[in-house]
Amino acid sequence: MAKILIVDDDCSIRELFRFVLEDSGHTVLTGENGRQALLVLEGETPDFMVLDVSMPEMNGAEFIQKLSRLAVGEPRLKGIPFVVMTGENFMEAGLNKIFAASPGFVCFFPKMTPPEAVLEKINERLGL
Amino acid sequence: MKAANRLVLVMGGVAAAPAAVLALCLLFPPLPRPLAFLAAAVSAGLAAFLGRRSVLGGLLSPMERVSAAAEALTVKDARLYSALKPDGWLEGGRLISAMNRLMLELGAFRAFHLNQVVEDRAKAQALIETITDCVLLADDKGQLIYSNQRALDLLGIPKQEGNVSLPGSVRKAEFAAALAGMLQMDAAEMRSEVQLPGPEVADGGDRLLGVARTYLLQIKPFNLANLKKPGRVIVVRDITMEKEIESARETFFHMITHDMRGPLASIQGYAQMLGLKMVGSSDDLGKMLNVIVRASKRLNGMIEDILNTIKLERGGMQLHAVRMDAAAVCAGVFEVYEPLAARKKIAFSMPPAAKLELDGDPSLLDRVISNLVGNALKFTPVEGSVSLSVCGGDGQALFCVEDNGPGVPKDKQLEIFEKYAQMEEHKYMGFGLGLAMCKMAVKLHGGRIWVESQEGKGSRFCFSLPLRRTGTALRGTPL
Repeated sequence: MAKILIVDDDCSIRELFRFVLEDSGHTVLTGENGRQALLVLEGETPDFMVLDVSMPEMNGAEFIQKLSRLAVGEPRLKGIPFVVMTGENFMEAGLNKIFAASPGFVCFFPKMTPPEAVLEKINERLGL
Repeated sequence: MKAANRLVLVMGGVAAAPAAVLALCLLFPPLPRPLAFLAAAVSAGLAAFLGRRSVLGGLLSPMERVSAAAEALTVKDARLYSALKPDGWLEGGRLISAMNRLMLELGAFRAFHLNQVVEDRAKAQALIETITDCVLLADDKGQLIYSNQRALDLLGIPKQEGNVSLPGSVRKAEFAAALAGMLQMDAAEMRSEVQLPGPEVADGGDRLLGVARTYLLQIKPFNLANLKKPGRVIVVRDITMEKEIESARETFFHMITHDMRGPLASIQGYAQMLGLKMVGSSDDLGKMLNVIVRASKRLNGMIEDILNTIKLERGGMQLHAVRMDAAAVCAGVFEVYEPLAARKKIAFSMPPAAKLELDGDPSLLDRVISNLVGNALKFTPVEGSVSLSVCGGDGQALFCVEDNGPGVPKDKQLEIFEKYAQMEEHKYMGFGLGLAMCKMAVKLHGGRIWVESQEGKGSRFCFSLPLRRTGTALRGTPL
């Protein structure tokens, strides 16, 4: 069906999303942080992304900003729709503005939103 | 196909296969009996083998994997890093699928909340280590639960001690003594000041004592889920600077008001003399002079209050008690404030009171009553009412100033008698010293001051003083 990139530093969350999305017929790619996600994107073009905010090495906001710059030279990376899993704390609040201003931003989901709710949003956005 | 049906099929197959083979061998073509039975036995063995493989692979093996994963999660606290393969019969596959979901979600949930806890703890730690106050948490027995480094350093608690108890582990004697006293009490909130002598400083061979420091020790109860009885939060704050500022402020007030007394005495004195010379002149002039005299008396009173507060607080005030009549002092204050009340259209009354003798300082008590009456008139709205009364009973003279003004909120009824404590809405209506001065003056006389009030309904400020104990004491009750 569609290729979904899950970017989260916690493997339990990555695997949980993989389990639910693959069960629905989607193909799942994963990255532990923004830097790993960029490596995945060198060889793949996902149809949708699910991003965590706070991650080591490169957080979600830095990843999106870097992706926007890369998309200038690689149009395939431009405007890939994504949702953000936010921890809803004041430290992340400042980063949220960066996501909201990016092309491709769909919405925020608070952490521990059931994956089915995220899947529904993915299917809705991709018209599946 | 359902697992139950498959099992029936497998069992049926295992049972039926040797019988079928035996029948076939005996009939088509007829084999010798031993050979036929051998064939049946072989087929039974083969059927059993295939049946076992089917059940094992389809049901038992998935269940085994699920129970191993569950055991790892619960007993060994391992996480599921990737989903188990959902092979086997339908039910086995469903069980594995459900277990995958359960364990992944549990793992994700646990990881999320652990992150939250670690983050919150890091935030709290950062705040507590940065603030300038010393903070300690102790249980009801004085065992230290938590503190910031500043607290350990100031109180002289060695970090290496595993079991820290308060005040036992506190090496700085001044703090140990203060804590010992306060921790024994059950009061909800306690405050105490501790003075530490300044450190010795070398100055070209002479050793000088550095600046002494004053600390405010505050103790409040707090509840933690795992404590049976409330523990204590102890906060130690360096108030040396505040003390110095307060002292400087008082000195400043003293200097200014001292210098103000001279000119004020002139205004009062000459106004009174003019009044005497102008007896028989027009009413208007007389009234104007009276206003000048009364205003200067009130201003003089305010200066007296400031000076009295300073003297009382520094402990430098000696009570120059003389035999005096409580009713007469009240009457004097009433006379001064009656015109002010009339201007605000406030019904100001004082029921007649009999002579009440007590030992006291008339001018100081005059200031106390003036403050209470002045406040009542200040805060009571136009067309309100204020009454001043004094009566005797149980060896005490009870003075009361009652009004129907806005009242004092319950949580402020003790605080308003502290220095500089004013209700927020009254911040621009005075220095905030009056009631503090009243409290100190009443206490000096061996009395007690308090307020009874309901917000929106009014207040009743009262103070009681001991009456003269001699046989000539006259007790009066209001008519």
